[in-house]
Amino acid sequence: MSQAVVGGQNASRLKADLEAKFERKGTVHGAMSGMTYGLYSVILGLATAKAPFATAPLIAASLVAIAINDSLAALWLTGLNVMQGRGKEIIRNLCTFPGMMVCLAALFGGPIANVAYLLGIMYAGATYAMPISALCPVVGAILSRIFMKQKISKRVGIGMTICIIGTIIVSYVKPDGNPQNFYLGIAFSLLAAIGWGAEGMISTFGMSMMDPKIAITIRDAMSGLSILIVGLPIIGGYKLFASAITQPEVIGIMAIGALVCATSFLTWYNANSMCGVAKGMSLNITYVLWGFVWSIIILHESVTGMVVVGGIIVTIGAILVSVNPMDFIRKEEA
Amino acid sequence: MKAPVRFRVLEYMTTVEKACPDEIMEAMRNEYGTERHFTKKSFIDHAMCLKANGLLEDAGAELNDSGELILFYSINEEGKKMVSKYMPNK
Repeated sequence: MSQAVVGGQNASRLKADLEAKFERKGTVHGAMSGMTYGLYSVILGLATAKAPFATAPLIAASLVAIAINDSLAALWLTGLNVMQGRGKEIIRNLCTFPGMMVCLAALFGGPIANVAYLLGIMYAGATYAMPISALCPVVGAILSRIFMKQKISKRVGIGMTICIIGTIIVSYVKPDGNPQNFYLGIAFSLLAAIGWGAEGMISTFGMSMMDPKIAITIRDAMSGLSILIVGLPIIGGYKLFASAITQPEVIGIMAIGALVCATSFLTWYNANSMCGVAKGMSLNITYVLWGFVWSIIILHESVTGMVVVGGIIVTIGAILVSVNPMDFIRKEEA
Repeated sequence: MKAPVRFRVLEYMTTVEKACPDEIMEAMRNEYGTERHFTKKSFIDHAMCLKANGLLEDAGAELNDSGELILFYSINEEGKKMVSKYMPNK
């Protein structure tokens, strides 16, 4: 359709300013999502290193921790929506097909990926789990090829190869400590990438119609509730759950972690909605690099050169899988 | 049950050639007018996000009498496809 700009140069300039401001806001949201997800990963590692998690069996500890984290994140997000008058919108969106798809996607992203990611952090450490889990766009591309018959382009293929090289570099040198569990941690981090890849693929069904503030609330609530109602009875985890939520220090750290997690997902979904999924995902995936920064600042961990190089390579590969760099250049020229 | 407001915005766009956020708001007033999210800022956000997601397109811009910028949008084929696929009770 032809565009009429009435009001001459003034209208054109104001329109360009408004659109640039909107995209800048989306970019800031995307950058914030990467920064906060790296921070959340470190806080989660910190909380689960304390009693009662530290002394509990790892599967139970990770399920309980994710149940608490995702439920608290859903509460933060529900509070935000209710405060801004969107409480009813949550129920309305739940009753749509895209809303139900977000619920299904949450089962892959929450009970499977989030729990596996935490097990990856617990066994191998956050600095190793983060770059491996960043393979999720690669998994998303493979699953879309298998189930949705989407072709894998040359660019995506090259990005996938770069990711795999980066992953090998990250996991090639074992850290000091317990090398037996290290590879188990790497395996769980890979499972997280598979879960998030599946979540991404399922979320494509109509989510572009949904308000991201609502979509992420449904996602976290579904994830938290499914573990609380189904996961914890299966593993007999209610005792550990009760013990964790009654320890002020643990629940305090987890509440902060959940707020950071909620901020991360909210800003990520906002970025996807404001400046497109490709750019949003590229900015979000920088959580790997932010994770290194936060690990050094908060945990005083020493990060090896190999891990940093591998992490940067995985990040570049994941960005290449998610977005065509030419799109950025073309947009700049436009 | 009412449809989510962003779904209704997109559905409304299938009934008009083009519309600005103010016009969309007026069309939605009977359904959502009493709810706190019913603000001009929200409707500008709905329109701009639906455009960023490739479901709406630019359909012109003008300055009103008070010098305020008014942006117009129209639905594209992808947007129409989404409405026919995912709009509740469709």
